[in-house]
Amino acid sequence: MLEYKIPERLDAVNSPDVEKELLSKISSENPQITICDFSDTVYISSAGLRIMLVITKVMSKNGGKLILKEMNEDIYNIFKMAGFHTIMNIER
Amino acid sequence: MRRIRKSLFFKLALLIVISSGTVLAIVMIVSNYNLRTRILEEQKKYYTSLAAKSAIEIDQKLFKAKTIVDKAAIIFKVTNPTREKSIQLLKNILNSDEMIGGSAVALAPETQFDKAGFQMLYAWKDNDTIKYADRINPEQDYKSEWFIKPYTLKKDIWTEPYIDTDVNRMMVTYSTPVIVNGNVTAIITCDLILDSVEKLLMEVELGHQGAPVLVTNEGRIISYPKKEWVLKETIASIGKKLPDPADREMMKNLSQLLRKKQSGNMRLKQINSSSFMWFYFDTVKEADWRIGFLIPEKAILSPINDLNKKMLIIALLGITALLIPAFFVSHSITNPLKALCDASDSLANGNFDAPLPKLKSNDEIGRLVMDFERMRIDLQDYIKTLAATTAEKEKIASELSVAKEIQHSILPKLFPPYPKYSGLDIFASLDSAKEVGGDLYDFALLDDKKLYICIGDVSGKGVPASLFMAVGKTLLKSTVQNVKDPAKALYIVNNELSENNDASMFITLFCGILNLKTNELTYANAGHNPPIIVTGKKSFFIKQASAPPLGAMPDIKFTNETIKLPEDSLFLLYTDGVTEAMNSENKLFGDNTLLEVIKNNPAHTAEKCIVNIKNAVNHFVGNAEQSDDITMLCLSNNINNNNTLHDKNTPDASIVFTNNKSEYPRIESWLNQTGEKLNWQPGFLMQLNLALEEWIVNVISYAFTDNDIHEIEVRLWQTNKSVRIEISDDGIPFNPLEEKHTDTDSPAEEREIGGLGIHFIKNTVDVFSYKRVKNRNVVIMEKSL
Repeated sequence: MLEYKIPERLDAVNSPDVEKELLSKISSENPQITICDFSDTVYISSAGLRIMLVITKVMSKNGGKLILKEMNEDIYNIFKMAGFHTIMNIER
Repeated sequence: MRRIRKSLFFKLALLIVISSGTVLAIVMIVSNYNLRTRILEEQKKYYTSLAAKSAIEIDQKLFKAKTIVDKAAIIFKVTNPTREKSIQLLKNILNSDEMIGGSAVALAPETQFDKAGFQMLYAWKDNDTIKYADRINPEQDYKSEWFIKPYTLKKDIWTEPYIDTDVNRMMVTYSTPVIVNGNVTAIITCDLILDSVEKLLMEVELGHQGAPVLVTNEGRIISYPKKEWVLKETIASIGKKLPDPADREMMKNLSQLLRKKQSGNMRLKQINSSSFMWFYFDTVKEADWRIGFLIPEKAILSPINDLNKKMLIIALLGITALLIPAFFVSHSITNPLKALCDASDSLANGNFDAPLPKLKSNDEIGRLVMDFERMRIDLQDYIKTLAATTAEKEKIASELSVAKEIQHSILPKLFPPYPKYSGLDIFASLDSAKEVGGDLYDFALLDDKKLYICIGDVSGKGVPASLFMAVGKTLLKSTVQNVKDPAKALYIVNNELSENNDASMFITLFCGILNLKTNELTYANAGHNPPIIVTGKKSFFIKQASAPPLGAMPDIKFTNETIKLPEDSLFLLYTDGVTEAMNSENKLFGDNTLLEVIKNNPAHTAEKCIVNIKNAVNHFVGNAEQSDDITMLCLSNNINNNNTLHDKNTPDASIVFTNNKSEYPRIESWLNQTGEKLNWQPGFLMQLNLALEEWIVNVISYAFTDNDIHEIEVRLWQTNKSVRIEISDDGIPFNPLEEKHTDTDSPAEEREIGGLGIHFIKNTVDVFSYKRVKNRNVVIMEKSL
C-alpha cells in the first residue's frame, strides 16, 4: 500500500513533477492500493485531475485501486464538475 | 324568536291593562261621583235631623223654664202678692226646674212699693237650700237688659247668654213682663244654668272628628270645643281676624246664612287647610239660637275611600285574571311562529329539509305555515337549479382560468431573461380583457448575438383566439429559429395558418431579429401596429411596408426591412389594445396620446416605459371595462455594454506574460493580489483561478505553432455585480465554444484526457465567449460576484 500526500496546490505548475514522482513510486513499489491524501490541498486544476485519471488507469490495469481521501468541499466540487466522483474512490 | 314572543305577549298584556283599566277607571269615577252625591245627601239628612232633634231638646228645656216663669207671672198678676208671697213664688220657680239657678221679681219703678213691701227680690240656689235677698242696687238693675227689654217691649225675652261670675257658670236669663191694663207692673225672671245644654251637645254622637256648635242668631259662640271663643267671639269677628281673604269671605257668608235661615247646610273650607267640612244647622226656636254640627268631608266620605280600595283590589285581580288567558292566547300564536322562525333559521343556514310545524288550525297562522311550506319547496327547487347552473359555470370558469394559465405560461415571463447580456434590457406584459385573450409576444436568443422578438394580435377574443394565438406563437418561434429570417418565417407561418383556416381567423404580427452587437433590426410586419422607437429627443413610429395579417390568405410575400436602433433608445412593440383602449365616453386612446405619454414620461428602462404607458391607459379608461388585451414589449440594447470588448474602459487589473510555462506562478500571484485588492471570497478566487489557468494552459500549450515568443494579455474589470476577464493572444484561431461536449460520464478507462479544461471554464463562469478580433483570439469570462 502506497500513501502519498498531495501538495497544497496541484496545478499546471507542479503537476508534471507530482505525476512523475507518483508513477515512479507505483512502478517501484507496485502497491495494491494507492492512497492520495488531500488534507493539505486547497487548489486543483484540470492538470491535477489529469494525474488522478492517469493513476486510476495505471492502478486498475494492475488490478489494484486508487483511494482519494480527506479532500475539502471545494476540491470535491471540482472532481464532481469533471464527473470524476463517479469513477474514483473518494473517501471523505 | 324570544323577542317576538315577548313583544307579542307584552303588547297583548299592555292592551288588556290599558283597555280594561280605562273601563274600570270610568266605572269607578262615575260610581264614585254618584256615591258621593248620595252619601252627601244622606249625611245632610242625617245631620240636619240630628240638629233639629238637638234643637228641639234644648228648646224643650228652655220652654219648660219659660212656662214656669210665665205661670208665675200670671199668678203674680192675679194675686198681686205681698213680699212673703213673692218670696214663696220665687221659691216655687226655683223648685220647679233643676236648670233654674236663680229667679227674680222686680216691680216696675212706678209701682207702689209700700203696698208690696219690696221693690226687687232675688232668690237663688245655694247647694240644696234656696236663699233670697233684696237687690241692693235696683236703679242699676232697671238699666239691665233683663229688665229694660221686656219692660219697654212689653213681651218676654231671652237675654244673651253670660257667665255668672258668682258661680262661674254660663247662664241665660228669661224675663217676662206682668202686664196690667196695658202697663208693665213687674218683671219676673229666671236664670237658666246652661250646663245641661252643654252636656247635651257633648253627648251628640258625631264621630271623633265632628264638633257641635251652638251660637246665637247673631253668631255669638255659646258652645264650641274651642273654649276661648265662647261668648267672646262671633263667627263674624273670628272671620275678620283670618289672614286669607277667601276664608274671611266664607266666614262672612256663614254668618249671614245663620242670621237669615233657621236651618240648612254649608260646605266650608277648613281654615289653614285644603280639606273641606260640612256644617249642618237648625234653630232653637225659643231663644233663636242656632245649633249646628261641623263634620269633616273626609269623615263623611270615608266609606267611599274604603269602597275605592276594595274596587281597586278587585280591578287588579281582574286584570291579572285577564292576563292569564292573554298569556295562553299569545303563546298559542307565538309557538307556531317560533317553530316557523326556527325553520326559517335553519332554512337560512341552507337546511331546506327542516320540518315545518304541523298545521293545527285553519287560521292566519295555519295559512302562514302553508305559504311557508310552499316557499320552502320552491326554494329547494330553485337552489337545486342554481347549484347545477353554478357548478356548470364554475367548471367553465375554472377551465378558462386553467386555459389562461396555460396561455400565459407559453409566454416568456422571466425578466431580465438574459442576465449575461448586461446591455440588453427587455420587458413585456400582457393583460387579458377576458379570461383568455388573443394577444401574444415572444422573444428568444437565436444565437449569442441574434435576438428574435415578436408581438401579435389574433382577431377576436376568448378561447378560439387564445388557441389560434398558441398555435401561431409556437409555429413562428420554431420557424424563426430555423430560417432566422423574419420575412421568410412569416411567409411559412402564413401558409401554415391559411391552410384549413375554416374559422377565418388571422393574426397581425410584427416579427424582428435584432443583432445585439450592431443594434441592426431586421423585421417584417404582417398588418400589425407600427412599433415605436423612443429616444431622448423624440419618439416615432418606424416606417414599414403594408402587408396582410397571417392566416388571411396563402402565398403572401413579406419583405424584410432593416433599421439601426439609435444609441440609448427604447424599442416599443404594442398591440391595438393600447391605442384603441376606450374610456366610458367611447373615445380611443390613440396613437398621438401614446406618443405624448412616452414624451412626457421619459423612461430609462423597458419596464418603466411599459409601466408608464399602462398607468396612462388605466387612467384614461377609468371605470370603463377593459375592451381588449393590452400587450406591450419594450427593449433596449447597449452594444457597448454587451458582449463586447472593453476597449474604452481602463481595466481594474491587467497582466502581460509570454507563452512560457514558467510564467504560471507569476499569473497565479497576480490573480491572488488582484483578489485581495478587490475583496474576493476565497471560493470565488479559487474558481476564477481555475477558469483562468485552464484557458492559459490551453493557450500556451496549443495556440502557438512556431518557437517565437508571444505575448498574452489578461485584463480584468469588476463591477458591483460581476468580474469580467478578457484574455487575448495572437495564436492560431481557436473557438473553445465549438469544442465538442466533454465526456464526464464514461468509466475512467475510456476517458480522454484533455478537453476537461474548457468544460471547467464553462461550468465555473457565467459568461464564456470567444471572438476573433484583428488576428487575435479574444476570450471573455464573466462571473457574478
